[in-house]
Amino acid sequence: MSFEDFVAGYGRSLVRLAFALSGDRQVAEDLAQTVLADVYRHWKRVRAAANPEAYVRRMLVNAHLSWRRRRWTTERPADLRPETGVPVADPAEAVAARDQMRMLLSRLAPRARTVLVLRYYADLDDAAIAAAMGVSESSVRATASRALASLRGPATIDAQRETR
Amino acid sequence: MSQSIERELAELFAADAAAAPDEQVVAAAAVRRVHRRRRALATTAAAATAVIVGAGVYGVSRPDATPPQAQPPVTSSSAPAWAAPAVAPPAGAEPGDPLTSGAAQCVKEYSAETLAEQAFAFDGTVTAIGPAQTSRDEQPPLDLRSVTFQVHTWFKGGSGATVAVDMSAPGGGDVTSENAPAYRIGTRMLVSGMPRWGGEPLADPIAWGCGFTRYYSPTLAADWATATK
Repeated sequence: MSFEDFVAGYGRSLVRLAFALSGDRQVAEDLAQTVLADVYRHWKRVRAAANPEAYVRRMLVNAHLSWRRRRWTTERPADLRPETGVPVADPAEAVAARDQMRMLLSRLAPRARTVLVLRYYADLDDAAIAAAMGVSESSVRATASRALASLRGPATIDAQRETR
Repeated sequence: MSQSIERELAELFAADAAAAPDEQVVAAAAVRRVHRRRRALATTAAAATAVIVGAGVYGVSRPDATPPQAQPPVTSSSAPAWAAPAVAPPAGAEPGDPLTSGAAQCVKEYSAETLAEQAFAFDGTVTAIGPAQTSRDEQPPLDLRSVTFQVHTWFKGGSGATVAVDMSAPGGGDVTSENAPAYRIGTRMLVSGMPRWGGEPLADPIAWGCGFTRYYSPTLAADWATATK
């Protein structure tokens, strides 16, 4: 398999995963480009891996977490909304709820958000998430459980949504 | 409740991911970035080599320049360590080549994985060569020299601006070792090795041959940085 074949087969999912992980357009583009540059430079090593896609996904997750450790950036809920100038078709309530969720997500530790992205966007099971992050499966489950609990936390948010 | 939040998360992340640009565009930019970096490094190395080769051993035309020393040098340079001029690898050797040829009695084969197992590794330029420092009256004695380096980059095992490690003598090695390396004051190398008698990385450090010590090249230095991360 050539680097070009890899990009054709897995490039889209990896670039989109970078966007889901980072939640920031500029950071996401830089992250995706940096990881693909590393893949290109070390293609022989990547190609020799038992599962190149999983290998590169781990590179992406490691780079993302490393960047977040070095420069803590506050996620801004509106960063990834389409900038088309056309009014969004979503109902106002749905948009408000999504922004609220972004706000709650921005308070999570980077590793917690990463677990949620890998589980609910990439559809990975706990074993695959553990492999991508270099942690145990029990750690994945515990992190996900705490993250979901903190997202469910403020009862007033749900109450307000119920009464609108 | 839980299902609702999980569904919200899935939709939110999918919306974020949908904002991603075309993967071919990102990959093309990544490849261009790598090629730009390689061209920049090659241009820098070529310019430096041209200066060194064109100007002679010590690369200077100053009236008070120290005259070139006889080969192989086994005395310290009279110039300050930080002013040691760089010299090209010896004839027949290319940047990135190992200092040894025809390995014999090698403990392990050079690779990124085995390099990562070394106790110390650095990019440095030779500033002095003197008597070996790690010998303990072993029999038969090894023909070693203590080589002092001005360190440009520590990959692992140390942090000082200079370091002295024992290496096979530049002009000849004992019959049980691989062929003698060829280096002199000003030779820039990528050096890796182990503490000769165990302990801390720089306790009686000895540089390994068998490919674990090589003439400097920017590309190889980048590979060493990655391997020892």
